[in-house]
This record gives sequence, C-alpha cells and structure tokens, in this order.
Amino acid sequence: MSALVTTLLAYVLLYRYIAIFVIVFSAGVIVPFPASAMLMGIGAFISHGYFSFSAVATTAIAANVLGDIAAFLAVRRYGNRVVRLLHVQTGMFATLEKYIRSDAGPTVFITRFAGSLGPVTNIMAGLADVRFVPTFLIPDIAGNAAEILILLVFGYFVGDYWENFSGIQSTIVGIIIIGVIAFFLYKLYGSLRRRYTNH
Amino acid sequence: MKRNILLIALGVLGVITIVLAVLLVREYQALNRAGLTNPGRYRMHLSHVHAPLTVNDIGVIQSWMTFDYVNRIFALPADQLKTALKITDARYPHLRLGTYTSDVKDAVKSYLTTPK
Repeated sequence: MSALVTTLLAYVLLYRYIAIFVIVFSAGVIVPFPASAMLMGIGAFISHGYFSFSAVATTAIAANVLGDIAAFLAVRRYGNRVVRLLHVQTGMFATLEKYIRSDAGPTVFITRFAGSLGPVTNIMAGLADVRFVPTFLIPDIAGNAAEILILLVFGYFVGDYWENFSGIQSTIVGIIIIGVIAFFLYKLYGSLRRRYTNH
Repeated sequence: MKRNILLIALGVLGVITIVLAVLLVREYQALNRAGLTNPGRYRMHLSHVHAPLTVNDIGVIQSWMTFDYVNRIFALPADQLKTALKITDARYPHLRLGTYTSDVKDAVKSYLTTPK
C-alpha cells in the first residue's frame, strides 16, 4: 500500500467524515489523490462498525459531485481565457471539444471509473461548454454514485484483505483509461478517413 | 500523415492494453496463491461483520491506525492501551499508533489472552 494511501487513511480515522469530504472533493477537482484505494479501505472500516455505510456513501458522493461541478463551472467560466493566455493551439482543442460535445453524457459517466481521467474530462467538458443540466450533471451523479458504492461494498466484502486488491483495482482503472483514449482516437481516425475519402 | 500518427497511437494503446491484461492476470494469480479468490473466506468475514477481532487478527494493526480505531475493532476498554503503555498525550485516543505499534500489538495480545 502506498504511503499516500496510508496517510490519507490516517486522516480519515482522525477526522472521519470531514476528512472523507475534503479528500474526495479535492480528488474530484484535480488533486491526484488515490481516492479509489482509500474508499476500499473505508469499506473495510465500515465492516468493523467504525463508520456508517450510508453516512460515508452520502458524504463521498456529495463531495465527488461537488468537486466535479466546481471544476466544470470554473473551467467553463475562466477556461477559455486561460487557454488564450497560455497560447495553446486552438485547433487541437476544437477537435477534442467536438468529440466531448457529441458524446458528453456517456463520456462523463464512463470516466467516473477512470481515476485521473475523470477530472481531465471535467476540464474538457467545461472548455467544450457542455450543457450543465442534464448533459453533465446527471451522468456525473450516476457515475460517481455507482463508482463509490462499488468500492465501498467491495471493501466491506473483503474486509482487512482490501489492500491485496488495490493492485487489481488500479490495473482495471488503467484498462478503462486506455479504452476511453482508444475510443476517442478511433473516432478521430474514422473522421479523418472519411475526410480523405471525400477528397 | 495524421492518419498514420493515429494508427501508431492506437497500436501503442493496444500494446499497453496487452501489458495491463498480463498484469491483471498476474495480480489475479497472486490473489489465488494467497487464497483470496475463495468466496468462502469472505463468507466467514461477513458472518463476523461488526464483531470484535480476536488475537489471531493482531497482524491487522498498522502504524497509521489510531488508538481509537484499535480500541473499537478489538473491543478494548477505552483506557486499556493508555494505561498499559503509560501514554500521557492529551490527544489519546485520537492519536496515530506510530512508534507504539509493536507495543500496542503486545498489549492487545496480552489483554485478549488474559482470562477475564
């Protein structure tokens, strides 16, 4: 288990629901905390009766959704200004924005299970000016709720052996990330092929 | 040109996916060797959910845990470890085990094996 996960779990034991909220919120915004591994550990704490399942689930889902909303709205308001300030190539963003906009709902939902790709998607969705309700918010709530409940139930089920499963969990997240990136590249490849065929 | 770059990128992703799939199989084999893929093990854990841990579970105790958590999972009296280890820190039991870890293990073992 990584030192960061143990440090986060120590804070969770010390400050309980406040720590869960702060850590999960930060991970939702952009801070690369290993929140998934931490939630499996909290599932094990729940199995010892140290936390209430419903209170942890409510706190974590609320924190994750609020973190995502904060990042999305901040980028939607100030993102384009920052992109212009940094002189980032707009062509690249235009292509990505087009794909994010066309499949916004499924993309937001599936990336809730893809670790650090989730916050990146929030930023891209903000830049693409995706509709907040229902296109961003509904899949965000559904995805976060599903992810958090799966992790807590799994941690609860395996109890003190949860650490042994953190490797397999991060590998599955890696495969999901690769799958999402491959899907976007495949779509990009398809559109380029069509463009070349038309020419 | 762009198409070729995309094809190469997709190829690289394919290779990474294969590597991750191999890792996944190896992780599963490691779990299998440790006997952690047997659902029976968890059935036993689930039948004891919320029940205090026993002397066989001392290995669960780790330095990042707090005294409060250890007291709870082993159902120890609130001041048992404080007295046994002569802890004067006012933050007890909301305190990490840290350097006390091995002493805590001994104290918990001693408490659980002493006939009440």
